[in-house]
Amino acid sequence: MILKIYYLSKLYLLEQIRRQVHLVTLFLAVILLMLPAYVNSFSLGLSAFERVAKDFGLTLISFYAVAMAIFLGVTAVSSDLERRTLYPLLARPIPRWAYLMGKFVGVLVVLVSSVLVLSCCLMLSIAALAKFADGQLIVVALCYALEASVLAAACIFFSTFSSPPLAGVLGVFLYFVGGLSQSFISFFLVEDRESPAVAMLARGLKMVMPHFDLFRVKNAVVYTLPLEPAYLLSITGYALAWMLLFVLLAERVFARKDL
Amino acid sequence: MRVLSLLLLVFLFGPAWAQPPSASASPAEHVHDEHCEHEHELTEEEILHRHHQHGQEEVEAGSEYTSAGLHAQVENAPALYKFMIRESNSEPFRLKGQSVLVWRDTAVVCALNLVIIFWFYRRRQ
Repeated sequence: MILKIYYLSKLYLLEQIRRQVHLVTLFLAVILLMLPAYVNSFSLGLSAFERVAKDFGLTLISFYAVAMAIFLGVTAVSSDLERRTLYPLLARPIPRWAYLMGKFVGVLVVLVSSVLVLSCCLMLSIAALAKFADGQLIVVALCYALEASVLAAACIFFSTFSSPPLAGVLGVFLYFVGGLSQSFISFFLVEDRESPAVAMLARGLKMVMPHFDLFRVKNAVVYTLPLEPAYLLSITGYALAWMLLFVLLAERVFARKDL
Repeated sequence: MRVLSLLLLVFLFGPAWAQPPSASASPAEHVHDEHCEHEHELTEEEILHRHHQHGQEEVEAGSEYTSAGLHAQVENAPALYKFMIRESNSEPFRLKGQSVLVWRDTAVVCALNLVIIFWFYRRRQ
């Protein structure tokens, strides 16, 4: 069964290369390679340049990862359905859960490899000017990859019962509400706006959604704060649990689908 | 792709095409020089008195260069700015000891996964 998942994910990977998805990654990689030099021309000192370049670069990587996760997650199953390439696959002795798993592993490989390439580009370009390679940049970028992987799993689940545009909207909604931090809700909805009902609704929705704000540890690398290994391990476990949950739910819906 | 490359070029080299500063002194520098020349003519006590007065005016006006002025500015700042200040102050403490809470949430999600798996196998049988 593992071999089947491997072949399906390999097939998905080749399909993405044929669709030239990697060109977007390369385009952003060129921007990230030039970014520190560009920031350096405006900054007042070395520490300011490093902070701004890291902050801006990691924000770019996180937006890219989220956009790719929504795009790849939404189109992974629906594109096979639209082009009718799903039917010859399912006619073979491949269970539906293995098909979904193969697709998800393929999305995961594309996401993680893209984020790794981008973070390496950012690290190298900063190291070329600051004469110091900060390895924590890659760790933080991998946390963003975890966040994007959970979102991609959710989008695959949404795409099993809805159209691709609706699945994309649901994915964006999940990302925004799940990404609201507790301090954001208590400050803007309780203290500033004084609307506890909306705050309660936001908290209630957030309780049943993955907490994406846990993966955003960018400030640790920007302000050179220590990153606890226990925390990194815990968010990895958290992301894996949510990924498994979304894939299981997607399998339940996909198994019942009349194809 | 070509349009994107062009946009990237403009983005990268746009600031470099901006006009370099002229050799002659800017109006602001000119005013500053006059101010310095005038200060040379004053006695030390007068200069100190003027600086003290200037400081008092800044505090009253809520200037960002004094601590009182900075405090006043933060108090009157938009909500987003206040939130960002609070977030940046609490950041070192946010990550500390939060792994326990994350593990608790992970356990809840794992329990949910087990329920789905058992439900799935029961339906299969």
